[in-house]
Amino acid sequence: MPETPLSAWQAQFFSERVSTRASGREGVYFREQVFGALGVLSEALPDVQAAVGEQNFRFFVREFLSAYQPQDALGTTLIEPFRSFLRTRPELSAG
Amino acid sequence: MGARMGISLRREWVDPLLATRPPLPALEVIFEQWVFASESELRQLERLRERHPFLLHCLSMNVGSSDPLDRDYFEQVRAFADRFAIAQISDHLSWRSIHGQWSLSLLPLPRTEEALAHVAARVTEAQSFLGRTIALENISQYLPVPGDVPLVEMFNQLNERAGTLLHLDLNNLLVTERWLGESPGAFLDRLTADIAWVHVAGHENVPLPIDDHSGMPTAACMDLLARVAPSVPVILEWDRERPPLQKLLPAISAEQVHRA
Repeated sequence: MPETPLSAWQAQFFSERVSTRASGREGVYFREQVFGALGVLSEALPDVQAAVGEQNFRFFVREFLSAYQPQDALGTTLIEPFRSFLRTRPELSAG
Repeated sequence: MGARMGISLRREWVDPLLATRPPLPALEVIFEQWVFASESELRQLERLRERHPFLLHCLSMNVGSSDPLDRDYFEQVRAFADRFAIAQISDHLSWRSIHGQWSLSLLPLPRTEEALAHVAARVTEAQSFLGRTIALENISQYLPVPGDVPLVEMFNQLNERAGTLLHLDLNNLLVTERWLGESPGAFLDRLTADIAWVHVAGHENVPLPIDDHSGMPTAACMDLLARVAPSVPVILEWDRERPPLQKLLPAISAEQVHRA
C-alpha cells in the first residue's frame, strides 16, 4: 500500500514503542509484547516450562517473538507456532 | 444485575457450563481462542449455542492498520459466525500490524480525521464482506497519540459514517483515565453512537494498571455501568487468576460482581 502519514506514524510507533526495549511508561507496549506472550504460553505449556526451567522458557519466548511474527497471534493462537519454534531448537530435545 | 450479565467464555468453562446449565443471558466467544479448535470442541460449542445467545469478539481484524485487510481472516470469521448463527461481531478501534509485523497489544490510533476516514472505509468494507454490522471497542490506551479529535467523537463519527456500533469497555475507560487523565464520565456524556454490548472487568490496583482483566470489576466500573441503558447486554471479562466457574457464577447471580 502507498505510504501515508498514518502508515509512517504507525511504522515509527511500532519501531519506537513496540520493538524497542524501554523502561517506565515509555516501555509499556514492549513489556506487553513480551510478558503478554509469556503469560499465555506459560499457562498453556506448563510442562515445557518445567522441562526447560523458567529462565530458559522466558529466553525462548523472547527469541520466538523476535524470530516469528504470527499473523493472528494473541491468546491461544500463539501455542502452535511456539511449539513449532521449539521443535527447531535442539537444546530442548531432552525436554 | 444478575439476569443482565453474561460472561466472556474461556475454554476451560465449556464443560462446566454444559454440566450446570446456568441461566446466562449471553456468552461472548473470542474468535481467536477457537481458531485451532478441533471438530469435537466446536461441537461442544454448538451445544452451548443451543442454550445461550453468542456475541463474537475478534482481536485481529486490524481495521486501524495501514496494512491490507486479511481476506482469509475475514473469511474464517464469517464462516464461524455463520456456523454458530451469530449476528453481533466486534473488534477494536486499534491497529496491530504495520508492514507485516504484528503486535500482541492493541495499539492506539492517532485521533485525526485521516485515521477516522481510514477506519470508516475499512470497516465499511469489512461489514460488507461479513454481511453484518461490526462494533468497535474502545481499548485501554497507555500513551498519548497525535490529533485533536476526542476519542468519543471517533466512535460517534464511525457510527454516522459507517453505521459502526460501539462495543463499550468500561474498564478500558478507567484504565485509560489512569494513564492519560481522560474522564470516562465525559466520554459517556458526549456519546451518541449506539452501543452493541458492554464489557466490565477489573484491573490490578496499582497507579498505572494494565488491562489484564484481573479480579472483580471495580465499584467505579459498576457506577459507570449504571449510566448505560438496561437493555444493553453486559459481559464480564476475567483472565488473570480467574476463578473456577462454580465460584464465578454465584457472584454474578448474587449481584456481588464488584469490589470496593
